[in-house]
Amino acid sequence: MNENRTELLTQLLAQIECAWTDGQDRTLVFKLAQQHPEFSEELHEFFADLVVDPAYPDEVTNRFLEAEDRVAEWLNQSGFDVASSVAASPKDTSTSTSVDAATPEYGSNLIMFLKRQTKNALPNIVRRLENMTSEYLILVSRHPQVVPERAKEFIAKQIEDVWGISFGDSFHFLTANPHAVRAASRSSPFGPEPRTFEELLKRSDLSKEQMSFWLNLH
Amino acid sequence: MEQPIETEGESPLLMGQRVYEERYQRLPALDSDEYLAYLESATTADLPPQVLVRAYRQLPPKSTAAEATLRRLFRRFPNKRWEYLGPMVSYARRQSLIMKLDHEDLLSEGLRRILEVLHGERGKFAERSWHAFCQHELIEAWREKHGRRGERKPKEQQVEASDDDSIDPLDSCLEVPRWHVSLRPNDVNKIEKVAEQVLASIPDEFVKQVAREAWFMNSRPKVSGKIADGDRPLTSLFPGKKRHQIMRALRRADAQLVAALHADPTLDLGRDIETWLQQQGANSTRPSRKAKETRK
Repeated sequence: MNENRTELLTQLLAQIECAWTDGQDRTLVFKLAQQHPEFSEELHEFFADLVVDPAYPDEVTNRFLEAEDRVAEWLNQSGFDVASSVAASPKDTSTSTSVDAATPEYGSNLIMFLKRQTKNALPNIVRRLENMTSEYLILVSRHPQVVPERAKEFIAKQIEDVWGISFGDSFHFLTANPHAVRAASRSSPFGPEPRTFEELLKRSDLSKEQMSFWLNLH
Repeated sequence: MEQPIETEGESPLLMGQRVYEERYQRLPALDSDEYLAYLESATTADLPPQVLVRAYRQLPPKSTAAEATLRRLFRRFPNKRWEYLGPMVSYARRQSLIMKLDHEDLLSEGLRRILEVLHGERGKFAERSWHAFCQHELIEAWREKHGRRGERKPKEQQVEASDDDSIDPLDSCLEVPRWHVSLRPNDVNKIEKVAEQVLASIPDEFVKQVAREAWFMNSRPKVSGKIADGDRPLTSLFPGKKRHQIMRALRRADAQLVAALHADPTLDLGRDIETWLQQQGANSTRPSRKAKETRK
């Protein structure tokens, strides 16, 4: 499905959603499916998903639930940091309604530094680095004290190679311990912090190959 | 105590917008402790995802309130039901079966992308159509990682093309939902009446026929396989149709019936049926009965 078709489909889904949630209209799906027969299956499935859960045999359901347990754990451990790291650029905060714009750690970790220096969002930064995921970079940035020196050096060297940012500048952010500041700025308890590099790697959504790469630098 | 929102005389879509607007305006100040407490205590009906998204997009992304808002938006109840992500999770489950993908991988990629774009320009769309937004971002996340046709997927995960298009990977996985509740005689009459109205509104003749066979039997018929003497599986009633085609038709019809039962403000269904309806799925997307009562 090309992008235009995806966009059109999404607009149709949005119409079905609004008709249902706003006006309890269950029949718009028939009308749109008739107008766009090429999307008939997707439109009906979407409406059914809004209203009922498909039933699966217990073993399939259990498999899904176990996978979703791990996703929920990832969200609690580091997932929400993806949002704050991506969104917290100076441009974004200046356009937001000011509530508590200046958190103590703003601009004081590796990710904020990289975003400012490269003028890129986190996903674009991560894409250019080897064996990297957003979660891994976030966790390294938050817990440099558990990251081996060789791994930190590798990251700083890559940053230098890709963007010409001096090794020392980015390595500086990996020698500080932002944990205490972060914990102090948080009103609700966060998930347990990683105590070892292995724990940090497990939460980093790395592939097996990526994980063994970083373990070899241990 | 919360006052009902006055909605008389408006078109449903305008009314929906106004309900969201009023729900949003009722939020405590976003930088207050009351807001954090409200996030903990408000019901799903009082706090639609569209309102949460709008609040989140107004907040500085690294603030405590922003994180608390996201945590509510992505909340999963102890019974493992996602409060606002039900339709997206259902879609991810289905796609993971059809495309032989890792469900955890697919879902976490989709959620990651939502977290990445929600505060940006794209997130505006979610203030109106949260579930369509979620599905769209899940698809985009998968494409970004694996390519438009899955060409970047590891070889062992690639779906082998089947020569037989009639084989559906969902075939062996989908089941007919349980359909048994204790009904008072009066409930049966009401539900049958609604079911007849729903049947009349379904334009697809095959879906209509499957629904008629499934809904008006003494017990919910099996789709296929051996069954007791005297009963016939649905596959035997529709010899030209595959099992998965019947399953999909039935799911389509069931969704219409559940929607109609939920949306009918004149129905005063017993607690047993309410419970059953709740069990059928993503109740967070349904109009709450309390809200409907205000429109009567």
